[in-house]
Amino acid sequence: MTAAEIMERPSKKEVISSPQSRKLRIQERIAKGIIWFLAMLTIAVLAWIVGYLMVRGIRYNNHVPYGVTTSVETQLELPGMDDDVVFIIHYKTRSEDIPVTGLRKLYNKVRKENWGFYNQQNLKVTPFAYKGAGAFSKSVEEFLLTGSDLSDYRENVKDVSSWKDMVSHVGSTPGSLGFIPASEASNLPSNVKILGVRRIALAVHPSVLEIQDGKMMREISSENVDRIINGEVSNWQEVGGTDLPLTVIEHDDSGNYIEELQNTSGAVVLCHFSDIEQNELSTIPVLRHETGWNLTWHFIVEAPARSGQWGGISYIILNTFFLILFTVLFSTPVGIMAAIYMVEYTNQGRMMRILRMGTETLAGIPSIVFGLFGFIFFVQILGMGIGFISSTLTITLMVLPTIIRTSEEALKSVPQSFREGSLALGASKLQTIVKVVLPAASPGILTGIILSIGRTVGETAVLIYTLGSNYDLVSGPSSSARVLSLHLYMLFSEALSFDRTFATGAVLVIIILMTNLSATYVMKRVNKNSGYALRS
Amino acid sequence: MKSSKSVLEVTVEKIFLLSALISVISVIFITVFIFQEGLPLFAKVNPLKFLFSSNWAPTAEPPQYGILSFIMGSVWVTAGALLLSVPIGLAVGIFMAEMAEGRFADILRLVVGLLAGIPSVIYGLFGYIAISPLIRTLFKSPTGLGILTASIVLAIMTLPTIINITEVSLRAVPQELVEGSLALGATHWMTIYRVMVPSARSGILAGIVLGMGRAIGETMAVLMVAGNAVTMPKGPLSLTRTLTMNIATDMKYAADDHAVSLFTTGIVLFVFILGINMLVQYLMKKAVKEDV
Repeated sequence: MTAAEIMERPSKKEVISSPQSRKLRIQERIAKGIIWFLAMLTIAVLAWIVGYLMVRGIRYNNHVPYGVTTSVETQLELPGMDDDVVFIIHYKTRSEDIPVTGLRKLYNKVRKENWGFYNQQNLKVTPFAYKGAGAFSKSVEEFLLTGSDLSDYRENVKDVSSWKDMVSHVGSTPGSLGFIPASEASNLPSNVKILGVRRIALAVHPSVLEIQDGKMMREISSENVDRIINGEVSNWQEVGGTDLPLTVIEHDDSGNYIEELQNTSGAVVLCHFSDIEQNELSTIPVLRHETGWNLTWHFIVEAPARSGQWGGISYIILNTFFLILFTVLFSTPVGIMAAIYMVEYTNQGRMMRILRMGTETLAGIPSIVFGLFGFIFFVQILGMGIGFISSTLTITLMVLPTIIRTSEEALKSVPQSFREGSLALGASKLQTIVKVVLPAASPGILTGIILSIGRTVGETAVLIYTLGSNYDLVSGPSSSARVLSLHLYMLFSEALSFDRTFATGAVLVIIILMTNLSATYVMKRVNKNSGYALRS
Repeated sequence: MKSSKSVLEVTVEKIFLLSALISVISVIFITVFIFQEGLPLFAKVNPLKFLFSSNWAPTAEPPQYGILSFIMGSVWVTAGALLLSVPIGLAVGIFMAEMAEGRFADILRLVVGLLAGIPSVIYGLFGYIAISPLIRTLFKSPTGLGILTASIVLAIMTLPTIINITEVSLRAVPQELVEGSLALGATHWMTIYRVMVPSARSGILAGIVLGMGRAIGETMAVLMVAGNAVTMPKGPLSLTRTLTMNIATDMKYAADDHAVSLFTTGIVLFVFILGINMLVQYLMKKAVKEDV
């Protein structure tokens, strides 16, 4: 088709400002405007995806409901004691404060208590107690057990011989937890820090929690709790509840307030959580706004625990690295040799057509089909089992077309004169390829390797049925493992934690961006040097 | 040059040939094994019933294997994705080939490259967290998941494929055609859409078909956002399960005939993809011929 055929309409000689040409110009401007807009949209979409992921991955920003309010006490008053009690922890424990129920669970080691439940730090709890301090110890024990007589507590806690001994024990035992009187809490060494306790709760008259007009008070934000305390709220509607007058009742030690609370519709009182437990009062969970860094150093270097719910992703990153390493090790030589054969040894013949068809078809096969194949061939027929080697080989087949195609382009771009010069000097064909052509093509080949690394890092569907889901460090060719993309999917599908899913995603995206940018950089260098354009 | 090649030269050439054949052998192996694993199902289930029944109850007694709803799911999701990505992909391809200059073109090229590089789990996560709430509020769908969300996610994923091939095909349009058109007094835009796009259409079509293949074969992202319901899709907001999702979800626990049926699903998918690949290769060949 030629331009003349396409433009067969008789072209009139146009006057610049004729209505026809004006219409054309407007048309052109609109069309180009739309195209501009769509190009911008593409950039915006990428910015949105990467930005969103980074923001969510780097910082968390959650509202978490707790049975207690956000107010933190570092010194807890004990009934009938002159001295307050202070809870201390080892300085490497990343908790600042804890709800009183959590504190009790830690001490009583309910459900194999681990700091992970409170700060995702996989750390066993070692509770200490000083039983020799008479009434004070008794009182703390009473507080920690809230009346129940748990023999667990007595078995679990390690006894110390003095308050000084307590401080030194807590300071030297990771995950430890101890208590001392407030009078002893001055001049604590730097390896011990004070754990705040949140035990103030919001007890309400049951009427507040009743469903009215399909509306119900499920939880309350800490800001609204402040407003209630300050007397700024007169109706529950103002804090998201039903139409009910709000009465704040003063807490007193005698316990009279409980009767008052139970008799006043819409009443609320601030009291200790233990009072609520003892008197079986109704309570509203309080939302605590928690923000912080998701993507911390700890997250990168700690080993994952409890399906990745606690700890970090160090093993996962290492596994990803190993997968990349071995995939590159397997696929690069084969890919380059294949490309050499296709460029240097065979002409546009039947062989070439078959080879090209094979590569193109391999490139088009969806990853889930590779997964099925890997599962049936490497895992079952060759008996390699679900593990590292099966998945590496499957991925190798997947990235082979990428490497072959880029290497081919790179080899083709080496000027023919290089080869001729080398051959003219008496070098054999092999010598020419190894000593002249390959070095000249190496930046282009490198691009292919980097691109295949990116592909390996991002692949998931293949890995589910060839790599398994063990989150430990890969220990051998047949050991099941997890890599970043798989870990992300597992965290997502098991709904373990969106914060950690995003943090893992951020790491994944950073790696992908880095590989892609370096591929672009290498490609640019190649373009500058030899002037060929590489497109995938 | 020596008249006879040394033994080393010959051996190395054979090794190179063997390496080159690995991809061909892989394709043959993949085909053979997928078919070998999946075809036995047809001894028990009528192939027509497998393809044209939407009754999927592989663990029931007696088991039912009908994958029509998954085929339709794949079709819906892919069609939706192409509906969104083709206009944008074409526009951006035209932009990159004809309008973008200097730094901006570099940035755009980088963006397209990065979009292509982002892993599908990331797209799935993003679709689940960022796009599904939008769909939920805009269209009052209960979960926000489903065909529409999956289509949007897939559209973003197939965009780079379409953009790249469009750009390449437009660049391959012979300069004489462009110059001829301009010389006849056509404006830049007229030249683009009356001369360049029509003469590059085989290539562009190849890009679209390639994008289609990517969309049909995509697993993780749709698995995360399409809702995974074993029902016939009824509209753009209904939850769905695609062929790939069927394999990925049921593989976890499938045994005996159920597992075989997943390989049979794989065959269907594989046949789709092979057809698409052949179409792409035909179109690309045509595009190259048209150049000359």
